[in-house]
Amino acid sequence: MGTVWVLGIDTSCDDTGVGLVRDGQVVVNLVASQVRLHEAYGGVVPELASREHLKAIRPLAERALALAGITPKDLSLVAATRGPGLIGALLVGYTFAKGLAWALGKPFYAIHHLEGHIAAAWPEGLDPPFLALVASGGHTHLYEVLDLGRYRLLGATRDDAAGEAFDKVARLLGLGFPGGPEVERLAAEAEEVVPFPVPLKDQEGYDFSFSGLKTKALHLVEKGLPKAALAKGFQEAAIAHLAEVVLKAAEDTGHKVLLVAGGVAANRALQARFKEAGLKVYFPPKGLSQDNGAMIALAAWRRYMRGFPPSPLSLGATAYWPLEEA
Amino acid sequence: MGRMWTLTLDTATPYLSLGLFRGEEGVGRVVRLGRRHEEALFGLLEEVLAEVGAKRSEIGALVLGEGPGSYTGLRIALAAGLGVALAQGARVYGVRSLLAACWPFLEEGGPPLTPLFTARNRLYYGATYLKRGGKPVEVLPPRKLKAEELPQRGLLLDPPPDPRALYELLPYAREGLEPLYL
Repeated sequence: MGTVWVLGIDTSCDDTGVGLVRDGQVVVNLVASQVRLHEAYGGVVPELASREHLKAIRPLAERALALAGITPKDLSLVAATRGPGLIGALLVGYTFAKGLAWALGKPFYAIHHLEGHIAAAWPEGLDPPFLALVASGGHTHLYEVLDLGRYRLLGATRDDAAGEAFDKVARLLGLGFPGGPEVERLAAEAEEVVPFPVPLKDQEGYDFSFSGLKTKALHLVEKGLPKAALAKGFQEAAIAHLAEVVLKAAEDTGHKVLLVAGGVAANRALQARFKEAGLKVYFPPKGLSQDNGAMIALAAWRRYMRGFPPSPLSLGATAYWPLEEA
Repeated sequence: MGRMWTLTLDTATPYLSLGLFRGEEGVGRVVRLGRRHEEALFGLLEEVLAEVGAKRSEIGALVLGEGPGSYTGLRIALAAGLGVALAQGARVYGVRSLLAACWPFLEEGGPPLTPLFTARNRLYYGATYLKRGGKPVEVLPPRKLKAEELPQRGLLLDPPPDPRALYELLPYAREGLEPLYL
């Protein structure tokens, strides 16, 4: 088999992502961020996101191809996020990718956004089963990965996503967006810590909850407690919570390997905590933890190599799509 | 370029309009779908391609309907068209969907026509056009209208954007896309 080039696109939320993967290796990964556009509104405005995706998608794809030194005809497959996400935003990248695949006469792969995140952290040569924590601004899900395309949901957040909680607390503290790196930076400056209770201490399952931490942070900010100590306390509790749930699941299922994917995976304190716990932990390489197109190309490449059939072009995008059904 | 085909697409209305044209040759299709144009688009395109006997690699230009209409709906044709264009290095042109819908009914020297697309909240998208010297003339630009603001003559209610009209309007179209978010 010759060289396999995969172009992957993600427009599930507010970032336009185009990535190119050659034989399973990321060659180009471009993300056009809309953070500044939405910052003024205090959150993502779906219609604005869709409009920006439409403006950005063709120039971004052209630049990605130019950087890799290839032409569209060199592509072996085209892949895009089918869901879950904002439907109007998804449709732009997904339909663009279908148009490209159709015109080239090449296979098209409709990819689940979270399978993309998992693929980004999944090193070559690692065989399932293992655990996968996907924690980002929109997701906090713990899965048992039985095989590529076979997932069992163990637990998920009952309220805010982990990254969302970091964003909201960052805003309370007058920090920028995205909140994760900002909170982490401020916490590192702290000389003392304001303790926060760890959520869902004695639960039976493997769920997450972050809204209590956020509310606590709000009360403490109103009391005028030092911000760095507060950031540190919040971060410690949020990470202790993620770690407790995951370690309990590892013990109960007997899995020794964990993938941590999504934007929250970039948090260094979290990385350290899992490594201490004696699990074999894999994180995505730098630049692949946030939403991006390369992770979608990686997932499609895995599916293609394993002989999964391409997706029909009549398959529509979908805002709601459990990973277990991908 | 004489051997190249032009692909036309419009998804701004409940209709899916598409076609492949080359001079006098070509086939256009209009299907009323309501929603989910993106699921039907490529199947229909495949049929049209086979019917005219063209190859995908022979698509040299695209003319896409820019609306007005459903925001999410109109972006389907634009996103799909941009993807096709990237594959072939094809040029992309935008035409107002309202103009493409009334072009077949405009007569040289005849009265102005006002095509209307039903919008939400009891409003209409409308524009008024004439044909002079074989060219389209925009008398009133696309805008939102209430029922009581509609002209008394020359109304066309919910005409489908015409695939061949998109092709015929190419000489008067701008290169690039300017979606109409009214």
